[in-house]
Amino acid sequence: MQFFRKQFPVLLAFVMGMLLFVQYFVPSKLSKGFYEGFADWLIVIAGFAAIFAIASLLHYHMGKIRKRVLGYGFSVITIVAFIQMLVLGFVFHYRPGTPAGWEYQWLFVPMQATMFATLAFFIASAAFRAFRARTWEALALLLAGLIVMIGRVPIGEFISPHLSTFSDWILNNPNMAGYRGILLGVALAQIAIAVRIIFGIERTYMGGGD
Amino acid sequence: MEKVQKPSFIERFLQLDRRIIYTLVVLAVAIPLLFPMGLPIKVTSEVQSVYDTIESLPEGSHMLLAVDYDPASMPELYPMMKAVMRHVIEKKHKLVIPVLWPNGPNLVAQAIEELKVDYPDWTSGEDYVFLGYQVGTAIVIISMGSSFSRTFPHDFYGSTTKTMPLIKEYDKFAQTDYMVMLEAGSTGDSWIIFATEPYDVEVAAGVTAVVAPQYYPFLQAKQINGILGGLKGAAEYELLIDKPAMAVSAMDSQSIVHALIFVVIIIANIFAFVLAGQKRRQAREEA
Repeated sequence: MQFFRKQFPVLLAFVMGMLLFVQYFVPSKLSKGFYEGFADWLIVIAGFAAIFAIASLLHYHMGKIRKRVLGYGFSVITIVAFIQMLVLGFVFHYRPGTPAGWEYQWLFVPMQATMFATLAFFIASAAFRAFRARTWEALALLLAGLIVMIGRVPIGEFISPHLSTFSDWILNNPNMAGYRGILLGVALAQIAIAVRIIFGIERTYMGGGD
Repeated sequence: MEKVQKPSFIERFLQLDRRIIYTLVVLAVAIPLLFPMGLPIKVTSEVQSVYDTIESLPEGSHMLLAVDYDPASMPELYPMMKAVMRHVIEKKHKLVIPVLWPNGPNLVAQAIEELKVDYPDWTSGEDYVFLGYQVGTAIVIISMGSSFSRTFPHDFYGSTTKTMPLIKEYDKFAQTDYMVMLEAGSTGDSWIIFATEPYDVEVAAGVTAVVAPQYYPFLQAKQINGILGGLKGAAEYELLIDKPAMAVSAMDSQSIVHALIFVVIIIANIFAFVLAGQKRRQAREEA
């Protein structure tokens, strides 16, 4: 049992990691077939992951209901909404015109759109209160933000065409340089993590508990 | 008894009730919608490039429209999606639409229904295939490199994809002539890493305004050939295809809200600066 809990996942990660690494450089029919089969398996595994996610969601909210934690009523609503949507989806599918499609169009879409739309109000209020040039760095950030914000909408162009040009320059130069640095950093970190997982150095993905 | 000093106008202004700001935002959105100002919309090179590419493709070209967003991003990406789809239909290109966000498929179904009013001959399975949602994001993209019909055995409407005329001629990602990905997050990175780069397929990104800055490095590296950024990108595209719709009509509102936030930030900073000066002076005098 200890083998399947500790050594087997490391062995599996090593074998699959090495096979896929080698496969990338071997343009043969066998290699291609392996890659396609692997992609199919991944979709199946991702499906199981979704089941785990559902189980986890239900476990979490059932626990809150059992313990009558403050606000457990929201957990009741979550579970009821989840189950009825699941049943309606299984019975009628989610296409427009079905009961689940109706719920999607007339409940889910407006609710999610409303949640996102309220951001405009919070941003306006937060910008007024918190966006202050207290240091030179904050001033630079403030000016860049203001120019991009006004330069990207027609009124910026209306005020001065230079605003739009300057806004594009900010996006294409300082912004891009920053993002490129982040992307390269993330890519290098991903490579490092992949190598550590393949060679069994990184084992946190196996979980810490017994 | 110590005299309580009344807060100055500046102090009171800086403590402005948030409900006043909310009301101003509501007015800034509603008034231009009711009374359009018709502010000029300039078409940027990033958007023009997407239009030109679709325009230059020969009739019947294979296009892939990746839909990776949900209703939260609908105000920005839905008009964009409809404008791009309309252009594709007008140019008689073939379209395959996969969705990698679980709450995205019904938005596509809605757009198709609306477009079918104008284009009743646009046929599922022949002119377009709406693949629906498949779980797995990057894994689905990898799998689509091998076969669309294997990755999506059935389309959104439950029909078998393998037997569809369009899928018979266009079943692998490598057969894509041009791709447009509509992104509200970072799924676009996976499309670039696992699909467009390995198979050397040209791609454009239609993204929400908040995500747009992330895609500029890809644009400069020519890994994408255009960006439709936010509602403005959608409005520009609507103008290019000469079908001004939702995005164009909302641009005035967006402009005024941006201008409001711009003004509010500037005033707040000027007042905060003045107040800080007053407090410094007061402290010096007391010392």
